[in-house]
Amino acid sequence: MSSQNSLDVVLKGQPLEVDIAAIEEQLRELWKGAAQEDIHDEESTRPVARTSVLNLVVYLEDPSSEQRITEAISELTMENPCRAIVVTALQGQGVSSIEAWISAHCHRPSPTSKVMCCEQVSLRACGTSVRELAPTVVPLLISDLPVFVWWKGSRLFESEFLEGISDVCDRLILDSKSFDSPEVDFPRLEEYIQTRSDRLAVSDVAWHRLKQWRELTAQFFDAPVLRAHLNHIEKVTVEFNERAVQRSGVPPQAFLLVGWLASRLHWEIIGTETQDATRRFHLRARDGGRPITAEICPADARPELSGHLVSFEIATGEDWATAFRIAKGGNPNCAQTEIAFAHLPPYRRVIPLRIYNEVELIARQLEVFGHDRIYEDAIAMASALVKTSRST
Amino acid sequence: MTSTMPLTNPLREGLLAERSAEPCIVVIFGASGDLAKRKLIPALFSLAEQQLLPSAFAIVGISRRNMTHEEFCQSQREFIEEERLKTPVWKSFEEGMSYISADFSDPSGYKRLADELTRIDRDRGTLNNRLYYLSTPPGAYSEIIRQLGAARMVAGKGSKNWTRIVIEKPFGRDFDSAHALNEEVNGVFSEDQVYRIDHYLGKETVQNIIVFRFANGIFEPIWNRRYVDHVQITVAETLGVEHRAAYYETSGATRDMVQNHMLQVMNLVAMEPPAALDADALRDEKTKVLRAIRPVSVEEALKYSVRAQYNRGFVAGREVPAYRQEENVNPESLTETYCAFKFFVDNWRWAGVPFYLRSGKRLAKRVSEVAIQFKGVPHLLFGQTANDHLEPNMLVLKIQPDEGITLRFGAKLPGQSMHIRWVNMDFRYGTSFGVKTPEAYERLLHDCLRGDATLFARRDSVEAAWKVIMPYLTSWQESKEKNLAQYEAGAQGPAEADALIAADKRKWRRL
Repeated sequence: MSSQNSLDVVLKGQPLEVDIAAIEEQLRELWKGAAQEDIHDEESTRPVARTSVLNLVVYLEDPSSEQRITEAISELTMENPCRAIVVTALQGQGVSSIEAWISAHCHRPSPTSKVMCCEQVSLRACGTSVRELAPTVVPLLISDLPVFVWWKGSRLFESEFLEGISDVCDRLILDSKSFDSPEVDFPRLEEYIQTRSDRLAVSDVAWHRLKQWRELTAQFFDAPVLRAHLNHIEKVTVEFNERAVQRSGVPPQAFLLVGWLASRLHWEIIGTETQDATRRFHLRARDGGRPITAEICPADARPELSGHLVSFEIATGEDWATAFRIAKGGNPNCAQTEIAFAHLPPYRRVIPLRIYNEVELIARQLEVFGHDRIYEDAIAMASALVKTSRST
Repeated sequence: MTSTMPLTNPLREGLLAERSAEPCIVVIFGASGDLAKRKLIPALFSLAEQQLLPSAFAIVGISRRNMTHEEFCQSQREFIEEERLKTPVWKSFEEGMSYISADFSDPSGYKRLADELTRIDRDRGTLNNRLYYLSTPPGAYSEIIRQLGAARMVAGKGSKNWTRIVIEKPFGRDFDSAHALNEEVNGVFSEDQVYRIDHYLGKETVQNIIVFRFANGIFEPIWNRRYVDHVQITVAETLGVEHRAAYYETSGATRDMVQNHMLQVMNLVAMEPPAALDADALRDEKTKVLRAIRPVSVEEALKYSVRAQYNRGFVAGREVPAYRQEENVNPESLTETYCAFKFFVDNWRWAGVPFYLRSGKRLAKRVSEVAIQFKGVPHLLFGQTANDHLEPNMLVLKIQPDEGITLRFGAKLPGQSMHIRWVNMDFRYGTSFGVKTPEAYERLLHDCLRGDATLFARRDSVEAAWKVIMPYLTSWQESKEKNLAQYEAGAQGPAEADALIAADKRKWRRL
């Protein structure tokens, strides 16, 4: 294929198969050619510019998701220009080999501006060559730019690839919502974070989904006069939607939400009870020894419920006289917050509850650098909760 | 309930807004006006959509116009998209709105307002916190402030609840009127309750000046008289006075743009690093810059400034009339539609470095930017081999449009000979962060609800800015038609402005 044809193919988003040893050289040639013409507007003489603010490595184990991920990267590059490296590991499948393709994602930010392009390198390894993926990826990273690894595979904690790249990885993006067993996976995640804290930070997409619940909970106590209630919490209840949880048991987000509140308020775990699908944790405020109950239970089955979490309620004072509640109703895009004092009509308001798509969630993770101590504390507490629950 | 109350909300830690808004009522004076429905209500609703409003919140509109509650709500829907109005969030937001029709000078109107606020506190849990927003013509400010004081509707020091007041520009039309207004304001509100809003400071790119300077170690060592030749700050518009002729006739370019927006931007460029990013530390440093601007006598003012009016011309291929021929403009108007200044900041950092400011209407291009021109190289190494003129390095902070930062430097043109070409290294918000930046009013209202006055003008800085400008305004007033230059609409500006900077062997950046 002539260099002109190659350029046309790549800049129009089609993959061009390349020799692994010549990836960088091919990319250099590509951008040299692209700087001389504008692929999106034949009449225009404005050249194409390449831009990157980070490296994004995506790890897959299923080749059927490559196309979807490529489309997601195309969207992500509009907000987060990057060099994307999509790695598909087909362990135990086919003859050992690694194939490579390059492609580009091009956008024109405004009608008068240059076309901005980002490059994608796709690697697919079969058989024992999967082991060579990490050493193949590392030299392809752009020096001096942060490296984000978006984990879309299984066996995260045993991954040879992740271990091989962890020295150069700044941030690992995972989704604890997909954990098969929170009882096993939260303690392993806690250990993973602790043992690698000097090398990389962890971003959890599920943590971002919980952000709106955390924000609304925090808002209840922004007024100093209401903040005093934090010292008198008697009971916390998280209701989840049993029908939305694929497997049986409690959704990981419920543990994470309780873990967050308990870690922020310095509660200690005393014990736990399990009754059908309900988990009841007995906790204690570290300073005064006041007992607190945290209950995670399925909500009454209602056809209109969506998502994993249904409501979050904090009851304070004797006999739970005051209640702060966030609840989802029929509209999946909204929630109602309520503050109910004894003998008074409750204050209510409806607020939007945004449902993020995958690209939006990942885009937010790419804006964060460094460790999120609040998340790490919440994971440690969620891990302690599930460990207690496992041991009873 | 006995308790040891945490000083800060421990659940806030790690969330985007570390400090959030407490329950409150926003009272908009002049709620039937354009600003309320074009800017304030859309900004507040946008905050509601982003979950940035407090857990208990209400809006009370007050103005002279007789309107029912439903008519008021209907009028506030005008600048919000149909789709967003259909959501339960708008319904809940609107349930928190109410309206009172009252004359601002009538004490009974304030009694009704106080009763309404008490009712809302009881029904919605807004905890007796108030944010008064003066969205009225400036002539009504004094009366409203006096009446609020007389009706005891302002929380005093030591109170458990808070009261804040937002005042829109103009803050006076000269030093004396600004000082008098401030005296009246501070007679009722303490300075920490006063938020003088300058929407220019709510722009992302203006705030980025602080980040650019103080989050990057490489610029600070060269940000001074040893390396900077001069600074140009430009706010150029292609628009004329449009429907604002009545206001503009009493204001002019200097009062409209320079005394507030441009001097604020200049402060951010020239100030020393503040000790902390809190309201007073930042505003202290900004005010010090204003105080360090070299004062000029009324006589000297003409030497360091230019004022002009646009004549008929062509803007974007369309013929436009001269300023004096615009609707509602006095045919003998002396109001300047263009002004240019040369300021010196007399301190150790900037001694001898001129700051050139220019602003005008009906110019060739819409541009707002700060350009920092660095000194040339001390020895011309390429003089013998290069035919090129060695341009100085230039750093341009673009405020709008094409928000971003450009650094200009010389690079060798490929080939056998030593030719130098000047190239730009560009950072563009639009390409590096493809996200929509929030409206300035959204940011500023949110700050105000949270009690963060960092981006609002403090009394001393407003008065110091008037002191800088007054000699120019006085000398222009005294010289009447004399020295009022002319420029063709659609041009780069008047020739006199070119002469002002050319006298120092410098030139304006092309728009």
